[in-house]
Amino acid sequence: MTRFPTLSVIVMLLAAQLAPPASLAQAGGAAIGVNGAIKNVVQMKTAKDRALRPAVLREAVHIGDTVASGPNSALQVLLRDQSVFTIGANARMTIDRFVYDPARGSGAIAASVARGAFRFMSGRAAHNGGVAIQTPVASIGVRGTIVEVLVGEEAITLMNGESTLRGQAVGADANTATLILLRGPGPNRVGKDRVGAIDITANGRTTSVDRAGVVVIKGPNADASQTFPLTQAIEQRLDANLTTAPTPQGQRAVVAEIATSLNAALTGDPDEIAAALSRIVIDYQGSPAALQAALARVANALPLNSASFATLMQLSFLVMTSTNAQSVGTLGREIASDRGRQLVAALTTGPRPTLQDAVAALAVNRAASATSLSAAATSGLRDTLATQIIPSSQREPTNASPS
Amino acid sequence: MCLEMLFGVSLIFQPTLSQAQSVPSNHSPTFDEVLAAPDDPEINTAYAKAQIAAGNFIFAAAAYERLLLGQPDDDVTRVAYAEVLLNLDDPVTAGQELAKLGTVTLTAEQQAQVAILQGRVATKTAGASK
Repeated sequence: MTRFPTLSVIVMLLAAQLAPPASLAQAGGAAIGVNGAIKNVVQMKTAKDRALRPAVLREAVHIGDTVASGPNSALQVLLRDQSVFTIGANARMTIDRFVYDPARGSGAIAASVARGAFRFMSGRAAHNGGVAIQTPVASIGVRGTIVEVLVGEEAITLMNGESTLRGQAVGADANTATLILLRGPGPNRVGKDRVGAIDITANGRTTSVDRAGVVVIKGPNADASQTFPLTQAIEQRLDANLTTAPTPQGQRAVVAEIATSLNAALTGDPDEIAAALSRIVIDYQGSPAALQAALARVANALPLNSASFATLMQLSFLVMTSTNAQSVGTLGREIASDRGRQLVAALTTGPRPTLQDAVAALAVNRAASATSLSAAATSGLRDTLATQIIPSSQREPTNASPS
Repeated sequence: MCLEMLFGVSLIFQPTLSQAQSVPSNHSPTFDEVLAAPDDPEINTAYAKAQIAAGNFIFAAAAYERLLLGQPDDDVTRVAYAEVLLNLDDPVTAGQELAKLGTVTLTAEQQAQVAILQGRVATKTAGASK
């Protein structure tokens, strides 16, 4: 019997029955902002949800909504007053309060962060000092600023990696240790933005910070530390949790190759599909995280319709779950089979999944994929697959339409 | 029968919506337009430029950051983001963003721009350490 591991994900997607993204206008007056950007795996729980489910780009955000991110993931929430919360890797945040009077340019925002990394960039509501961010051990009052916070084990990891902060890691609580970084704007900024300033309240005492720097709170009942200088090394470590890096030039060609492979696969030619799968596996052998990122970028750059999205999903899971060359070749051909077409057709009858659904689904199999690809590497898959790639000079012309 | 015939759609990748819909160069999008399309490169780039012109660099930085989350290989936006961070007197993060571009091939014009910005980072950093 032929394996068809993509069936599980297709069933999962069909079962999800995700509604299309709600626009801010559709969501009514209670909407306080939107999901402005999503990187990899981010989940969200609104009043309508019983549990966390994949966050959707452009989806309306309401008071009380909770967002949670996975590894190497991020979400930017853009609020109506132009404040921005960027939630980085392994974070969990809830927006507890949002009041904004556009006419007066004043308001109040309160959010709580249970763990992980996040950045707050102040909007118009912060002009009157109405922003409060709660971590497990500190309250941060924002007076116009760019502030970044890291809560939990990753804060300790960062401290241990920096000579100036290493002493702060001693005795720090793995669940609640909080690192607060004021980035700016600095006193020599250009334009209308206020100079950054925050008030940190921990253990009943309030510390004001008005220059770029780093403050640590080791855990419950601990005072805020002195303000340490903000160095490039510290920012680099925190930055890895909150921002993106460009694909190195050498790998950009590989990403383009994947796009070409997917394009070829979508022609429905079995040999092309098999070759495409082989190339993707070879390019990303042993690195499911890189594969996931590459697929996400490819998908982001493409106007995926239901059919092409389904094919992308299938390609992804084929690559990440296949353990031997034969299954890659066989399953590649099966995509173009009648059975494959039926499954794709079934998928097109439901709500269109989003890229985030795809990436979230990929993350579900993260551990299994890593194991599979590791096993594949040790079994010499690369060499085997290399013999299966059909040189372009030997391929039959595909039935792809000219652009 | 190929998938293209089955679904009646073109399976050759088409330009994205944002690529297809260009924002006129003299159009300054409103914030409501940004809220409606926070991931649209054209709208958000135009919005960021308008905010820079108005002196609202935090809003510009937020727009560029948003675009880079979705399109990390947009080198032009990354350079612009670094410049905005410098204007916010945040040389540490600006330098970080410029350093990321060391792994990619830039045009001669971009290289010159990056060199100028790196000079500004060095000047600000030296000034801050005094």
